[in-house]
Amino acid sequence: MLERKLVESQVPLHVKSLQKTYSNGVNAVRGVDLQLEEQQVHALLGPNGAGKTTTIKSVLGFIRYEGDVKVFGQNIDRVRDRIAFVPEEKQFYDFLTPRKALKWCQKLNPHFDPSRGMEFFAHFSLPLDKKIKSFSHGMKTSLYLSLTFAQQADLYIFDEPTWGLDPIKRDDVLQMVRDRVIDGKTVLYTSHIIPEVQQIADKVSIMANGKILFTGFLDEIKERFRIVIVSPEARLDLQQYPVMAVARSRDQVSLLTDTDESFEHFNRISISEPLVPGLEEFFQVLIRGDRHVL
Amino acid sequence: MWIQIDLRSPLPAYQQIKVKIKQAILKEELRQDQTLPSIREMAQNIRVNPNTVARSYRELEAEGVIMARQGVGYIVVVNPGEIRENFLQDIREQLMIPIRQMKRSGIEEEECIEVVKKCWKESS
Repeated sequence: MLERKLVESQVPLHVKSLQKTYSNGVNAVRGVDLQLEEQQVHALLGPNGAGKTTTIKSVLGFIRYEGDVKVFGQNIDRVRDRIAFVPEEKQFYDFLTPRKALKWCQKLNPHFDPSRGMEFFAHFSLPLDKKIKSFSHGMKTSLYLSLTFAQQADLYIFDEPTWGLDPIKRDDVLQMVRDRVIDGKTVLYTSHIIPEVQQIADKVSIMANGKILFTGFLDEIKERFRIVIVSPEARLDLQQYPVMAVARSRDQVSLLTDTDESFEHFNRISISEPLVPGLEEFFQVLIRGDRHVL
Repeated sequence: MWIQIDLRSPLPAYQQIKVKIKQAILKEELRQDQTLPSIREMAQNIRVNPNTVARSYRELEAEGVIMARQGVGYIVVVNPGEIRENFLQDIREQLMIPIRQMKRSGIEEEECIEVVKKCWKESS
């Protein structure tokens, strides 16, 4: 029993049957299960409005929700000092400067390392004594990220962290995120930018309309799935085929199927060899698809 | 040790690391009893997550290519001769996709071999 407790307390995040309906009746999250493993980057990928931010706000206890959320096996309020968070909306007091913001963080957070904060400021070339009021969106993002990376935490949560950054800084930020897991930390990361997720994630959960359609390792997508393209004229009785999602466009129909064994079924109807899907293709078929049985 | 990972390749990242390590052993860039970079170093160098490197090392260990030695890290336990068959097996798996494609398109074995010979000549 003791052993089991120990294991549970090591799970950085465990979400079960999470649901959220806002007071205006919007069903933002409709039954989400999510489990993060230590020392991994877990990306929550989905189109705008999928429910990613609502999921994160629930996990952090910022809004009321139905379901069960455990962070390191406990209620969030007992482990808040082990979590660092970058919200989608980066809000600051306008009169602050990076130097003053750093001092505030130092006072408010015992796990904050001001010298590391200064290093990140230098990296992002942030003017130390300029008021935040005059900052561009990208500068505000850089400032928020600097203050977050300077915080010693066990679980880092980033909600669309690269918004407004140029491609070079974005790449740097992804490397900084990776450095967190190299140092043994765990990361939850939301994004709607597929190449970014492809670059940084170990595991990905694809979310749409308040539900998670798929969770798995990026490498697993290439190993487990194939996409078969058939002509839109082909008469398909899909019941006959082992298909997990079907996406139709004007000039082709993409079928998502698993493993090499079932390809025989498709020989007659496919117009190309089965494709090994990258995250992009996999995401497209899942999101546009009209059958999900994953 | 430098390994270039292509995230757009149909080959999963952990497989690419495995193949590159085997290649390095074949070319004697990595010799028997030599230590591999730690998971952490390798992850930093080649810009992938430690979890991916760990999976490659785990599988290479299961295949008997490397071995974890207490306090030292992972060491190479095979010589180029011993890795050869294992390496060719990986390549065979990768070749299955284009070969199936040719077969399905009605291309005969001789033609296929001609294509391979041509590619061999053209590759530098």
